[in-house]
Amino acid sequence: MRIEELLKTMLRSFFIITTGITVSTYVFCLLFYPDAVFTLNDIARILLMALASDMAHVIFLSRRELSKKQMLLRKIIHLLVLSAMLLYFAFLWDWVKLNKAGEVVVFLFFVWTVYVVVYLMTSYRDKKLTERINSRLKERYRS
Amino acid sequence: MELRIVIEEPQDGEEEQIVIKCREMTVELLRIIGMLKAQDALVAYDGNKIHRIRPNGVYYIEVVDNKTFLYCKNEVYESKQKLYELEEALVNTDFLRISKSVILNLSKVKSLSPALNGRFEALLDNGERIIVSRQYMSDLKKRLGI
Repeated sequence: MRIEELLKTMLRSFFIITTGITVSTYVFCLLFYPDAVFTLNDIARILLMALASDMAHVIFLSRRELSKKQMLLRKIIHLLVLSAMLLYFAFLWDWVKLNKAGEVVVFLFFVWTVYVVVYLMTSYRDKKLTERINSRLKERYRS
Repeated sequence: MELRIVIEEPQDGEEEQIVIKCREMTVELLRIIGMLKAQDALVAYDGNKIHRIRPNGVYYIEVVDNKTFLYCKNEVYESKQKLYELEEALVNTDFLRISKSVILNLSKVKSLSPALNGRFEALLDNGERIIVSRQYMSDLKKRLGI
């Protein structure tokens, strides 16, 4: 992924991550802190967290197109870095207590769920597009 | 290098032609000749040997370390032309830019499969696999009328 493509991806991802964090925070607080009250600072923190998470996309920066295997490896690294960053911020702002294993597990579960859901949605869309392209290629060049 | 361009009307019975007058064959001139000849064949080099390759025999064209290579079924040749020049020369053919560094001959694509992050992988007739960048997917869809 080159720099211009990376910036476009980061801009698009910012909104997906922000939505993911907001939904996850809502469900997380519903489970563990149902009386939680959110302040302006918390909203700013969600946005800051999304921005910081977005920066992790630099992992995909490459001068040459990455192969499928290389991309898969970077995706795994990306997920691990993203999890560590989000957990760090959540701990820093006292959203998650690291000495409470249940909270950490649920928090990571939400992060990975959002990641997997986004991955499955894009995979499904790509698969459908592939079928259409292959059908057109067959019509044009193989019939 | 500054080149003077002279266009003359041929005399009766004289065929249309392009004449190049030069003191030495420069890289720039080789590029221009390549572009002109790409109308029916691409000029490519294999060491000191010069080849004329029909575009439909080329699977894909790739730039590696600022050098342009033509990949055929089993052979690889170097071209003196820049990628954008070849792209212009091969306009209205089955060739399509699929990433910053690759032009692909769509007639050689066996199938496409997803390759993560909105990219796709093209499997070619000769078994080679080429990544189609997300940035160029809209051009591919447009070309195939999707």
